Amino acid sequence: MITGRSKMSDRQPPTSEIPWSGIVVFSVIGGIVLIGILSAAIAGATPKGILTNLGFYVSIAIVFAILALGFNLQWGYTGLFNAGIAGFYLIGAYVAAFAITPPAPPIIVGGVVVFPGHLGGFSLPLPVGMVLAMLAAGATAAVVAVPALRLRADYLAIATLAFAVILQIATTNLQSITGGSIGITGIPPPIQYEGTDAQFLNAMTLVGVGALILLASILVLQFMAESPWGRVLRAIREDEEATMALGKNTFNYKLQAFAIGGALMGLAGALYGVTLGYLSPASSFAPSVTFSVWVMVIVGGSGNHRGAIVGAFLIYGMEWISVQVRDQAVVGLAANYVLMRGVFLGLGVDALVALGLIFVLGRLRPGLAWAHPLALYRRSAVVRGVMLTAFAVYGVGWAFILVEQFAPSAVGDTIFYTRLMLIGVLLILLIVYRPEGILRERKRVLR
Amino acid sequence: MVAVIVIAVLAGLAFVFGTIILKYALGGMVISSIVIVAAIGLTILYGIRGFANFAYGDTMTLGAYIALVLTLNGVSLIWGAIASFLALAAFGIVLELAIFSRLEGRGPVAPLVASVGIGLIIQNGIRSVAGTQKWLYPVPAVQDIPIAPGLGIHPVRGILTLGVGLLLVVSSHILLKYTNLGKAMRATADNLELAKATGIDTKRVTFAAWALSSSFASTAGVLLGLGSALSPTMGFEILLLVFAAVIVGGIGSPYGAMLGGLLVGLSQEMSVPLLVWLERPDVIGLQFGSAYKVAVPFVILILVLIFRPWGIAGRRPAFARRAFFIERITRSLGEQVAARSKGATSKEAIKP
Amino acid sequence: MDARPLLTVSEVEKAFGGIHAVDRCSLAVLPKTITGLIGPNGAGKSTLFNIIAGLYRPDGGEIRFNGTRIDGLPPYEIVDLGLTKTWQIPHELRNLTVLENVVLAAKHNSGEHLLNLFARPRQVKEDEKQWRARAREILKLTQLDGLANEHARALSGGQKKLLELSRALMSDPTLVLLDEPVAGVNPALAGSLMDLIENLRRGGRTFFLIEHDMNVVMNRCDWVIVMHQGRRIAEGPPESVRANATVIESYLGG
Repeated sequence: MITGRSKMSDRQPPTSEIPWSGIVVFSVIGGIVLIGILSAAIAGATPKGILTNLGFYVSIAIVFAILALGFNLQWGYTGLFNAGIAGFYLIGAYVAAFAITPPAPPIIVGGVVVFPGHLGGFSLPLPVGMVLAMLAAGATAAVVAVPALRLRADYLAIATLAFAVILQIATTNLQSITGGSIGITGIPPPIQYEGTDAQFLNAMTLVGVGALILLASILVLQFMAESPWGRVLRAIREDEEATMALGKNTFNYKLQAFAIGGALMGLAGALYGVTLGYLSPASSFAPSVTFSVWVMVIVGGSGNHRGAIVGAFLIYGMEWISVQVRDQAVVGLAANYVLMRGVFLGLGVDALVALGLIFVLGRLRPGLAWAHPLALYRRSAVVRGVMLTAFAVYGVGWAFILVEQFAPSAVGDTIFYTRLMLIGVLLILLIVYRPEGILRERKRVLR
Repeated sequence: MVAVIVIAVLAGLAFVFGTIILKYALGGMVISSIVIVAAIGLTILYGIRGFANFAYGDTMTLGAYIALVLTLNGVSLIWGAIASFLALAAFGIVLELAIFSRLEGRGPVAPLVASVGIGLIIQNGIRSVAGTQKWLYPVPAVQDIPIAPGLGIHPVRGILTLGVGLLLVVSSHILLKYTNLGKAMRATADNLELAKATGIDTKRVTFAAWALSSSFASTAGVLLGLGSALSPTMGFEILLLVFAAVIVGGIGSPYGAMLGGLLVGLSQEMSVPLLVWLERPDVIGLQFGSAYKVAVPFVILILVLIFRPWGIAGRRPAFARRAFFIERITRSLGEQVAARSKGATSKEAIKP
Repeated sequence: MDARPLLTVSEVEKAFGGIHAVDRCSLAVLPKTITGLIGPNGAGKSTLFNIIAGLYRPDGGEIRFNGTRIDGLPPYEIVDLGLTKTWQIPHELRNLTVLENVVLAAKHNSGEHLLNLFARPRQVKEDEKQWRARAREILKLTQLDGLANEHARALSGGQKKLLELSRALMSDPTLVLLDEPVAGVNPALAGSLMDLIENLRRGGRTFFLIEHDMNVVMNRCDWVIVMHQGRRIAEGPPESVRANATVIESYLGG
């Protein structure tokens, strides 16, 4: 039985008037968007193309945000550490796909099965598919929860991870049902557009649909969290044994929370299939998806809806950026190598001159202490952070330029893997130094 | 004694189903050797440090790749493996110093998450340096050595793996049973507070556990690489299997890990004939039945977690309390059984 | 006083890894009494309370409450039947407010059931209002009403004990198991607390309390049961127990 207090909720986050952490996080996301736009622009994309690109980022980030909300309910509110997020995600995606795709019989060419076909083809409307996805994932979560909820946190993690992996194997091998490793293609978008602007309009529709669903989910979750039911969940997170002694059937509550979290993950899966237009079991439902969602929720601060969503945008933003930079900026970089080098050189010189001026000013007019960079540096952690970050970014920029010159293709893939390594580093740093996350949970007071 | 049982069971099965069973049994033993080596390392760390090390698979991968780098530079595989063994021991100690010592007393989730981070770093670091293509150890290609009609064993993959596995099992047995350090480790894994109270240097024990765990991981990784090819995900793919072995055997018990590893490896391989039978259209017509063999140990794991979470060699914790409805079911079943066997009850009251 | 016992414990056993915390213990509590349970440390009193309340399952024996067998039942069913317990070391829910702590103890709050949130929102609101009012009443009785909106972790040790009592009263129980209810509470407050308990007893409730404070035991209890090494060794009205040789020996010898 999981007893004892939740260690995470004991940490008292220091109060601060200016939400520095919030500012930093949102400016990082803004920076991500900016770099994305720049990369696309360097590669010569049209404004509509850039918006389509951004739309894709937002849509997938919303999918992850819903996943994070589901996990947040399971872990942040009830203390159930689910390592099988990918499994419920998968179920939702496939059930929705089965429901809304047109029939896809197997294609056999000359005795060889080219396309194994998949179950479904009911061509039901999208909302029905989503509801079915939520029901399927939620029901599975309930079934999994019955044996799993009595387990200690790490046992639960291992058991749910095993569940997700088994599901992934089954999906890849039950070819005639799920389309095997080829997956399901041709998932219809919410509205079928025609013409040159089709992709752009489609992207915008998807963003709209996703945002609506996200908003609805947040509202419902908030309503549930602030209800007496949610209060019991919080009590369970604090001290399950005490809550049991108060007369609550804690097992039922944990089961419900787990099932609803699972249903949310299923919803995310359905949205994912529609956004992408196809499903393939190998990459999209691997354990690394589960780990990414963990990072998102931890970054945002567990127990915190806003945090989960921001975390999703932030972490997925990192992934999206690495793809953008790899696909587009690198090309642009190579083409405009001389120009980029000139720009960086100029930037560096300007910064040095500015720093020098401020330094001289500080010496001449000691009263203007704030103008003296060294004093400011010593006094304020924020200034330290900003200056170090600026310095690091500048250095990274130079590193890219130099590497690009000497090993033209090395930059691309390394960015990709470096991003994952950074997530690992982030995970470690957060869990050691700041498990309460970057955004704080708003204190609830019952009046 | 266990070996006798296993051999007896296998002989019986072989008698019934034919020597083809032995082929799968042998394959299972080879996999078991790798899993046992890995599981011993994992369970010792789990028992002493108290958390599930999700980076363990990637540690195995790291060990395999370090040996690979050395072999590519002209060192023989044996020396490469030994060097990797030592390097990873140091690596484990560094991990404890840098990260995990700061997470003491935070429960089992925090170090688990940190270990996931480390796994990500290792796996992707290897990806970015060595690429995603598969590498092979420079081992000369040799034919299987025949044992019985239709049954052969590969000298490197089979015999070497079994041999190294046996060697490590025996040496860990000697370490744990006969050396002071070993006894200290067992005591700490059993009860940390008590060990501290009796004056055992738990810091030293912890470092030893990390070193041993990581170096066993490296050997397991090298063996794995010998058996198939090296890829950045090779360790992570086998991680759940090793966890299954550890949990089935009982966390913290190296002997349990050996039993668990044996069970897990054998069940995986020996389920193949059954799965192939299920592929037949007149049974279920299951597609790609043999691909499900990896699911078999997980099913065993889940069953163990439901009914006996402390494993074969573990002890039932004093305050264990199962979910109420299972309790109801077991209680009513127990009452029925008790009503039926009205005989000897050991609780005869001795009135004061 | 009613002759039929409200709570009967028969031959209950509980061992933890070889140590018999409760060793074939049998006792009975009569309704509408304040019954004390005393004994040296380690006698098994708190363990017995935990078993009665359903948090531990006894290894043997039987417990009946109002004629119904309750051993082996989960805590929430036992609370439903009208039996609640407070904790010796307060288990306050730290990051919830005092009011939330008490409201949680309400027995049938429709808002705590998920479907009701969507199917019967008006009733949820009504129930919540009603229970909050009731919680405030109880907090007034235990003199915690000024702290209603404070987080429970801000309370002092004695106040946390009061919170325990408030929660126990919230579920409208027939029998309340109090585990050292006034330990660490200042004497004046302890006195008014025991007055409150006596009032409630007059109103029909029964209290079974573990206490080490002999003043409370002697002056407030109608009946005292003594436990030692996991079993009952004596019982009776307070004065008779005080003079009992076996009892004195158990406290000295341990």
